[in-house]
Amino acid sequence: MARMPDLSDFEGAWALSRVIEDRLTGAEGRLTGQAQFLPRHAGGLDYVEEGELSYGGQPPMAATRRYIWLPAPDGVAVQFEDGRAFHMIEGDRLMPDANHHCDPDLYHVSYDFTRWPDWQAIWRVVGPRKDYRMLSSYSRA
Amino acid sequence: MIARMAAVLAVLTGPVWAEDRVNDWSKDRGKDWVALNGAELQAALNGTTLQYDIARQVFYPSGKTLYDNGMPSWGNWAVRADAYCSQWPPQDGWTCFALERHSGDGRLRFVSQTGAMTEGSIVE
Repeated sequence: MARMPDLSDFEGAWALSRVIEDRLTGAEGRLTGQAQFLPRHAGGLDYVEEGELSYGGQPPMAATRRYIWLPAPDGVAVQFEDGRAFHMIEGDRLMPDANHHCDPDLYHVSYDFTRWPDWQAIWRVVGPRKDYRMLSSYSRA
Repeated sequence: MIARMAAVLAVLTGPVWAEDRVNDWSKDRGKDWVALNGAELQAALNGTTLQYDIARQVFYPSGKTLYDNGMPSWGNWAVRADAYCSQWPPQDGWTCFALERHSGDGRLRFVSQTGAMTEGSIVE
């Protein structure tokens, strides 16, 4: 069975392109930037993203994100920077998906590694005040 | 306009992305920081506990190390030449970093080959 790439295969710099479709307002956002997976002295990789976000006609703004990707027996455990669990990426497939509940919102992600080293993460976020889809595309920088 | 701004905030904030921040890894690079050689590195870390911003790590003389950011994980550490190296199951590979000490207050920081840094203070 095809598996997602090894965690070490993500190390390095990636060009990032993101489209956000807000289904509450109809607004669209676009982010262009770079993501880096950097070795951590405590294992795994730091995911560090920096880019410029244009959203709904507002002036562009700088946007950053940071997570921790850790090796796990069955794949990759993604944590917030402070160590809280975010979601698990199952390693035994090329299109894993996962949920993260943060009441009252639900975050669902689908990864697509079928065109590696080009890959995507598609987030669907639904809650009382949130309803958007976010497609992030990565390619080697 | 107000509704649209609210939508922007709703997308940009919230639990998943509330931790966003900017890192400046070049900050203070080379200023007041001294790279440790292998012997100094061994002496600095052996049996030491380091406190980071949001985590704590213990370097046991046995070669085991415990990193705890709320989700404890065990790994192995060693000194190879003048580098700190660690390995974290289930991965097999070892990754090595330089270790630097602040000449003023004794803080330690790990520096990756790409320049990424993690800074910690020794827990007495």
